[in-house]
Amino acid sequence: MNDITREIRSAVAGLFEEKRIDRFIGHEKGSVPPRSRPAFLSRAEDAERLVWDGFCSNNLAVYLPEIYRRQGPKKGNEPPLPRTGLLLKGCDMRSLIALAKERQVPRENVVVVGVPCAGMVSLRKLSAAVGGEEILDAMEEGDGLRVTAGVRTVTVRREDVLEDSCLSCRHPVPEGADVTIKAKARPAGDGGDAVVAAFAALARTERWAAFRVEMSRCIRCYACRQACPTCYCKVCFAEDNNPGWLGGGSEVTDAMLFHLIRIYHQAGRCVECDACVRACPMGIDLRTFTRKMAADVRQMFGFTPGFDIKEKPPLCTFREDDGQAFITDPDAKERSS
Amino acid sequence: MSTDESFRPKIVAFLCNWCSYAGADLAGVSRMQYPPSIRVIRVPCSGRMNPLYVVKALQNGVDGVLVSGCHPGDCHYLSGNLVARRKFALVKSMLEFAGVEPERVQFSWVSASEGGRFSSLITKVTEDVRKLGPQQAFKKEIALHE
Amino acid sequence: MKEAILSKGRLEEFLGAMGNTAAVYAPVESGQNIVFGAVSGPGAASDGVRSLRLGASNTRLSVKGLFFPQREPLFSFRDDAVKAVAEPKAPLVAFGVRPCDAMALTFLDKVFGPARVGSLKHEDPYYLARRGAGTVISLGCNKPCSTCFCTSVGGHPFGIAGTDVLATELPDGSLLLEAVTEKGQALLDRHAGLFSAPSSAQLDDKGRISRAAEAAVRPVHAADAKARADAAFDSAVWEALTSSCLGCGACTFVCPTCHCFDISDETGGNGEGVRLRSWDSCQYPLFTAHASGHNPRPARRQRMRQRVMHKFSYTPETAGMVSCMGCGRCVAVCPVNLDIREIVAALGAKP
Repeated sequence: MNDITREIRSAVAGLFEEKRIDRFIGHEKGSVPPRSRPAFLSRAEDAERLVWDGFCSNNLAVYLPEIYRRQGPKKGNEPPLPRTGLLLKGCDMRSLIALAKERQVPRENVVVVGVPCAGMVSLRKLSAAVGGEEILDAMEEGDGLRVTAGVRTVTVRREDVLEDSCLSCRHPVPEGADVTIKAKARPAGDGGDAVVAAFAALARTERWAAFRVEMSRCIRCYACRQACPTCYCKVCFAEDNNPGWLGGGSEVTDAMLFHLIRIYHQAGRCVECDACVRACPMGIDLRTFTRKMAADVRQMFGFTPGFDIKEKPPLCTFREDDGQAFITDPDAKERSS
Repeated sequence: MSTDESFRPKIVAFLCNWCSYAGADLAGVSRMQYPPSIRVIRVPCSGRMNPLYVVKALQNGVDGVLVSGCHPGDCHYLSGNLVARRKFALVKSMLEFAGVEPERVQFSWVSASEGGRFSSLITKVTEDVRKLGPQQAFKKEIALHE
Repeated sequence: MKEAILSKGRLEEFLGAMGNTAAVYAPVESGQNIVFGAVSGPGAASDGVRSLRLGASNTRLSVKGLFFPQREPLFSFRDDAVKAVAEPKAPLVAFGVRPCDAMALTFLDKVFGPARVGSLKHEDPYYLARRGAGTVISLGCNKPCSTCFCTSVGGHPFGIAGTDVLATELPDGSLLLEAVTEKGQALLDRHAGLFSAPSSAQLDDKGRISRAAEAAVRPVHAADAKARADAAFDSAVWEALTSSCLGCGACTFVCPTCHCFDISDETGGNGEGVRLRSWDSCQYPLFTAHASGHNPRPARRQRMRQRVMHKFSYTPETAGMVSCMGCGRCVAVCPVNLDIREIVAALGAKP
């Protein structure tokens, strides 16, 4: 057991003993090695289940909207809201702030145990590193992982098997946590700018072809939406039948519409945690498009979600000098193209 | 890319009630000529625009989409078009990134007194879209097979 | 011949030959996954057999999509005229189907197939047409993976339920083909020129591989699951076991037996349109939402309970079989590593 795990268990047990929380959501070892998975605890003794390793990629903020969802109009006699403790990394913390900003979660009811994040391991990359053999065990040792797959045990460098989202993560430290665990965060990355630039550099027809191919894999299971902490609409536009924007089934233009609009709905709210990418059973490359939206919001409006609860969401406000080079001006002199 | 002169593009134009729609009306009563390519949907304000409508229109098979509102600073609801400007910027950027031709989805500002500008706008947008040819990429085929 | 050997290196030829008379589907690469795709015959690229990928333990999506498509037109209409969808006439071959998926077809046959309920006869012509036109060549699992548990739910890595031909990869690189049904026998007879007779050593190899595979499948405590599940319906164990569920529905989409569907109309705006059937999931809140606003299963743990009960308690009553095939896909794909094996084992256990 590493020091971070020990410290987390002690901190969480303490939170229960001090009666600061009614429940705690952290990570425990899963049933399919080497995965870890969300753990829901209700007592100090349960803290022994908690772990911290390179497989704690789930964004736990996703559970908060459901916990704090009001079931009906306020009548004034509701019982007090539960106090939830949560283990959050850099990206997860920003989801919490985004939710608090949108009044979906009362920040004061959440006690955050924050862990500066060294990056999470990609199961797909790890599997590829051992030739697709089923992984039986993976032990983290310093900068590497000792992986047992099939009959072999190999050591891989952590850096070679980290999630793409973690390699480019700009904000690995959860800012504003109530309890911060001592851990070393990764150096900040480029936020996915390289991925966006590489795609943008393709010819228009190539981009469209690539987009269409990815969308053709979509089976419209909505796992991406469910895994996203800031997708919390009671009835998603995709499932509205009055009007019925989308048809049922996996038709490709419906998939394009669903993803374009879902990503658009996440403008200024997506913290680029890649929970959607990991949840997708078909391995669709959503990352290129979520990063594009986040980069546009950053570059056009100077806004990065998840830091300031009071800051107005970028699509609820404006600046007089917002760019409008894209506006068609029929009276302008023809520019040479 | 089509230079087929017989292709008449179908363009959906979302016009804000107070400025652009009135501008279109002025063009009409002033007998200003412009191509009969647009199907107008009147919205109370360009801020009412939802990118979903733009993409849905493409899925329904229109060849182009135009959204027009009041000039910034002149919005009947004061700031609707200013917030809309941000939405439009994101939508245009994302659609182009995904590979949709930039000229298919256009945004503009036309005031109630600018009948001539409206007519020039439609002429320009229609020509832009005509050159691109019919829109097939996003069109949903209600087909009997996958 | 009932058993045939396809020598090493001739599989592509066999798939290509079947493509002369049928649309042949087999595991192929699709982005980061392996799914069933056309490798020869109508709908396949000319070099489609090159995209064959048999190394993976199982395809990401089950074979049910070939017989019960994710999106299926039921009929088209224009104004008052209704036009039925033409029945698929082209024969279909599904190659490389794992025995769990093949057994799943025997369950789907009960759901969609001819049955009498009281005085009502029900059968699904869409499913039955594809099933009738389809031949299944299953591929036994030499190396079951750690998430497989077919042997605990009535299956076997070399089981023959639901298949027409069982294929086994032998150590010498050849493929042993065993006809299970008349349809399978007819397929082998049609391509007899490609095959040779197996030696007794090869048949022994198959037996050995089959027994080793059976021993390699990890057992799951699914004994008397129905009784335990029924007794535990109101137990707090469901909350403990399923609180991390995201309600994402991925489990139901990859499951070989999940078959709930939605029906919707799509119109083109000219008075013409099509009625579609598409996959639905009991994991969505809208699945049971009433028009009044009431929802009998408002919480995720109730919906996950429903899924487990359906597989282990209800279908044994309605269809005479547990409808979990032990394929392990839901375990592999769940974003939060919910594990149906753990849930079934925990039912009725002392807290």
